[in-house]
Amino acid sequence: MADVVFGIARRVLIDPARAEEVAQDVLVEVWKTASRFDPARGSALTFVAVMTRRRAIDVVRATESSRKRETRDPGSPPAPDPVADRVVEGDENARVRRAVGDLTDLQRQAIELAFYRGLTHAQIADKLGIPLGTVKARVRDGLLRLGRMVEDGDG
Amino acid sequence: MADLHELAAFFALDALDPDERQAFERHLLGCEQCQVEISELSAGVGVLARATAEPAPEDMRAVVLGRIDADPESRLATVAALPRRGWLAGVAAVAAATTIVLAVLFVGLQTRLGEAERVQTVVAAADLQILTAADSPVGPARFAYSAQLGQGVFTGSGLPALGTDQTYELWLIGTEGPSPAGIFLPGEDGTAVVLVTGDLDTGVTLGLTVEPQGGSNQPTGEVLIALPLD
Repeated sequence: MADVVFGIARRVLIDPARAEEVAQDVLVEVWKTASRFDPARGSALTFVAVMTRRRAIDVVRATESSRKRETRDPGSPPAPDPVADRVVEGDENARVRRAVGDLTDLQRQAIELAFYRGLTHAQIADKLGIPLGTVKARVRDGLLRLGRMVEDGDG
Repeated sequence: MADLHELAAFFALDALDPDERQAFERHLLGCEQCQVEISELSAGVGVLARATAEPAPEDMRAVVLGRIDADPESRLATVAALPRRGWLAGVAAVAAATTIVLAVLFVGLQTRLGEAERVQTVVAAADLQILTAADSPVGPARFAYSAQLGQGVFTGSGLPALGTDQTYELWLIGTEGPSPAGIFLPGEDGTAVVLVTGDLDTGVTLGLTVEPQGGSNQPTGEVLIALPLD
């Protein structure tokens, strides 16, 4: 779980030190609120992932660091570290990464802009120059496709 | 507003603005189709999240565990949330809440033999005994211990705050008299979780007193709690 929390924070914030601060806060809070967790609201991991993403985006907005980030390719992952990848990459991780890689470019771009950059559907439509309805449909199709992967036996 | 259906995916991503989210939440209450779809979409968000995993810095795990250890409230919650015994065998059956606690615990177990693990070891012990002091002058307290391990966990709630020159001190009182078993200060909410190590056999009594700051070698204050071990 720590790797997922840190990974999301890093993807949103880019800067590892600030990502670590956010990740720490989230993990401590998860510990504190574990007994109040409501399983009906989704899997524990999704719940924690959404919480991490919200915190990280709040930090970006609060510090206006988004201006610096504009110079980067929006939503692109940090440069791969081959050694680190070996550490974290189990079969399952390889599978989920492949699943995301198998999305169409448009599906992936739209999902990543929404999740890691915190853009609304209208902002994504504007940024990608595609109709609003298309954005909503691609994000939905993409997420359902990823979700089905779980049903296919990924657990 | 038929197109509220279309917002389900953005709701699952937590990417709606506040007005839209409110509208969608109202819609969701009465829309079975969206309720089903949200769970499928959330599974997709989970896959996306796992694909983003990146090795966390090694020191981060230690820092997180340290912060958890330092927070009496979260430590008390942990003891309450853990299954009372045999957690390794019973993991599949425990609630999602406990699974999170264990998941976070494992983060720490990989790098450090921390307090959390010791609490867990005691709570999981086959010979776990739990003694309760319901009517003590310092609020309800419990002592969960394993004589086999020689380890126990004292938990108090409603402990009055002390002056800055005072501390609570636990004692193990055996045939050879009392020996110090740890000093502690409760959290702001009056809770405390203290690990006790020593001879926890029958005939020994766990005691609690208030002592001068830094603790004493022999109890000088009134015995506030006395729990004879079985």
